[in-house]
Amino acid sequence: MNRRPGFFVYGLLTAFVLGSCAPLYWSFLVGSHSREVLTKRVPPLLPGGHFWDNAQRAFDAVPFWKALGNSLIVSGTVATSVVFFSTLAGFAFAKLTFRGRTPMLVFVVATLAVPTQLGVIPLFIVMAKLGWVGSLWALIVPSLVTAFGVFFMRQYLLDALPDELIDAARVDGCSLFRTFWTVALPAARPAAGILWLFTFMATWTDFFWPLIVLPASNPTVQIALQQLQSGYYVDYSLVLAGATLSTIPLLVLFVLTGRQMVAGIMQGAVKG
Amino acid sequence: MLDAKVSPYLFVSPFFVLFLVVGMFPLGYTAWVSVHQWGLLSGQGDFTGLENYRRVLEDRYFWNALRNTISIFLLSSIPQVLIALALAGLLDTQLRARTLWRMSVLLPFVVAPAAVALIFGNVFGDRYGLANEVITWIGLEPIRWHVDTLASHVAIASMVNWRWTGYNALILLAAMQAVPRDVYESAALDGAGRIRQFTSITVPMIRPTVIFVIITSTIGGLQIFAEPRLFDTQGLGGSDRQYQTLTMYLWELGWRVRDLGMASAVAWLLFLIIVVFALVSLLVSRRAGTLKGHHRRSAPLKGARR
Amino acid sequence: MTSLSEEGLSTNLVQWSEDWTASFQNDGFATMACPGWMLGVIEGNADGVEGWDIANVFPGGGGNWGGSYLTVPAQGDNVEEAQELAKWLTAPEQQIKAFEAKGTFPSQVDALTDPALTGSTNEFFNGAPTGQILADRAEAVPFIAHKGPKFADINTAFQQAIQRVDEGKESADEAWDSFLADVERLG
Repeated sequence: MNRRPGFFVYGLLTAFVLGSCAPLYWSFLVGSHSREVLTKRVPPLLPGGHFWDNAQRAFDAVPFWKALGNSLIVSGTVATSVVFFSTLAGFAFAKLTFRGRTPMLVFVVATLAVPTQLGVIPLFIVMAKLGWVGSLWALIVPSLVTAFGVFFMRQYLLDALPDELIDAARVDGCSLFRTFWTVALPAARPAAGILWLFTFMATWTDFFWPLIVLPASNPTVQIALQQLQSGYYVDYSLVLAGATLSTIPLLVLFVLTGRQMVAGIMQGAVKG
Repeated sequence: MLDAKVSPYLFVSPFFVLFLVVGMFPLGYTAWVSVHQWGLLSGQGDFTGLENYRRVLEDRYFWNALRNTISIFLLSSIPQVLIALALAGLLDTQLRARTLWRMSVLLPFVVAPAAVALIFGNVFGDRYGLANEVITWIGLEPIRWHVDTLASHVAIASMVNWRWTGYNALILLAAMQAVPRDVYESAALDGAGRIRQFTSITVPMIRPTVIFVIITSTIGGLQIFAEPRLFDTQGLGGSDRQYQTLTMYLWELGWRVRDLGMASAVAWLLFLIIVVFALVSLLVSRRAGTLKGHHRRSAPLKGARR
Repeated sequence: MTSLSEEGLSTNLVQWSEDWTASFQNDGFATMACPGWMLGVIEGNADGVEGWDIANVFPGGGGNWGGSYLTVPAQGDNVEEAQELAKWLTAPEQQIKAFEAKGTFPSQVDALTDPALTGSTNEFFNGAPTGQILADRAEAVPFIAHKGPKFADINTAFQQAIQRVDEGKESADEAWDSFLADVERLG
C-alpha cells in the first residue's frame, strides 16, 4: 500500500530527532562556555569559545588519555574475543552434529537472562586473590565470552551458511577447522561485524563493574567521567566538556557504522 | 573420522570452559558467600545460614530500594514503549532518506549512561538547572528534582527513556514491516483511517514483539545503576535514599558497609525478583499470543541489555 | 539546625552539589562554616566575586572539620620506615613549609605560633589575617574527638540526617531517630 507521509509525519519525526540531539547539544554548549558565564543562570544558546580550555582542564583533572586508551584496549579485546569464540561455538551448534549438542544449546539459552550483576561479588573476591583488582585484566577476563554471542552466531549461521558448502569443503579433504576458517568465517562476517559493534559498545559504556575494580589512577572513560563529577567543586563547564569528549569516539563509530547498527537491531542483533 | 568426532567439542569447549569459570562459577559462589559472614577486607567468616537474608529483608533500605527500582522502572518502561510504538508507526511509512531517519532516532543509544547521567543531572539542577528555568518561565513553581521522591524518579526515568526509546522503536519497526500490506489495503477499503489502522491492526499484530520489548526493559530496568548513582555527587541516592535502586543498594552494602555476605544475599534476591518479573511477562505474552492467533515474525532475540 | 531551617536562614543547598557551587556566583550565601581548607574552595568557586571575609568566631569556641591523615598499613613491606616518613612529614617544620607552599593548615600545636603562620593574610578574604584567626580557633578546640573505623560512614549518615531536616523531609527528632537507626545498621 502506498502510504506516503505528509508534513505531519515529518514534523513529528523532526521534533523527535531534535529531542534526541538536544541533550548532546546542551552538553557541548555548557562545555563550551567559561565557568563565569555558566554560573549566571542559563547560558546563551550559542556555543562559547572555551571548549578547548575546558577540555584541557578536564585532561589536567583526570587521566583522560589513559582512560581513553584503557577503554579502547578493553572494549576492542573483549569484542574481538567474544566474536571469535562465539563464531567458533556458533558454527558447531549450527552445522555440526555431536553428542550432547541439544542439551548444551539449551544450557546456553537458559543462561541468556542471568544478570551479570549477580556475579560481581565472587568475581571481585577472585580478582582480589589474583591481584588483578586495579588492572585491565579484571575487566577483560570476565567478559571474554557471552552466551548471547554464541546463540546469536548460531542463529545467523543456521540460515546463512548452506550445508552444501561445508560438504564440498569436506569432500575436498579440508579438516573441520580449515572448513571453519575458509568457509564459515567468511559467511559469518556480516553477523560477526554486528556482534563486534554491539559488544564493543556495551563494554565501552559499562559503569558498574569498572567502578568496583578500577582505581582513580587507572580508569576507563566512564570512571574518569565519574571522577570529574565527584571532586570538591562540580564545575559543569568541565564536567560536560568531559562528557562531550567521552562521547566523540562512539559518535565517530556511529557515523561510520550507524547503518549496520540499525540493520543489526532490526534483525534482532541486539545486545547492549 | 576422528576429526569429525572430536572437532565439534574443540569448537565449543573454549566457550564453555571460559563461561563456566567467569559466568557460572560466580553464580554458585555468590550463594556460598551469602550464607557466610564475609567482610570486604576480613574475608570469609563463620557459616551463618540464612542470617544475611534475614538481615537484608529486615532492612528498611532494602524495601526502599525495591520500591524505588519498581517506580523508576514503571516510569521509564511505560512511556518508553508507548512513544516507541508511535515513533515506529511514523517510521513505518514511505519516508525519504529513511536510513537517515532511522539512524537519527538511534543517536542517543551511543551516549554512555554515565555521560547521560551527568548531562541530565545538570539539566535537572534544583536551583540553576535548565528544566526549572523553563518551568518557572512558563509560570510554574520550580521542582526540587533531587529532593522530592517522585520528581527524582521522573528525572532518572527520563534519562533511561531518552537513551532507549529510539532503539526500541527500531525493534518494533522491524516487526511492523512484517505485517502484510494487504491487511491494510482491505482495512482502508473498509474506511479505516491511518490512526485506526495503527491501533486495530498494527499494534495487535506486533503484540509479541511489544511484550518482548517490555520483558527486556524489565530485565534492564531492574538493574539500573549508573543513572541514579551519578544523579548527585554523593552517590547514595539522596538524603533519604529516595532514588537508591537495588543495584546501588548492593553496591553500598558491598563496598561501603563492606559486608560481602549481605551484598551476596541482595544479589540472589535481585536475581529472584528479575526471574519473577520476567516469568510474569512471559506468561502474559503466551496468553496474549494464543488469544491473538498468528504472528508472522517471532520476536527478535536479545540478551540482557545495559 | 531546625531553627535555622524554620526561619529561612538555611540556603537549603547540599554541600558540594552543583547548585551549591553555583550559589557562590549568585549571591546564594551570607555565611558558611570555614575550616582552613575551605578557603581555597571558596576562592575557587567565588572567583571574581568581591566581599568575602573571614571572622574569628565559632560557636562553642573551636572545632575541627575534616583534614588529612597519614596511615601506615600493618601489611606493608617497610612499616617502620613508613612510620618515620609519616612522622617527619607531619613535624611542625614540614607543616609550616607546606603551609607556605600550598596553604594547608598545620595540625601540630607547636606550629600554631610560628610567625610564618600567624603573620599570613589572605587577599581574597579582604586581607584578613587568616593564619592568626585559624590558629586562634584551633587553640580554642576543647578536646580532640576520637575517630573510630566507621567515622566516615557515621559522618555521612549524620550529614544526610541534617539534609533531611533542611529539605523538610523529616523533623529534627525524626531525623535524629533515623540517624540512630542508620548507625545501628552499620553494625
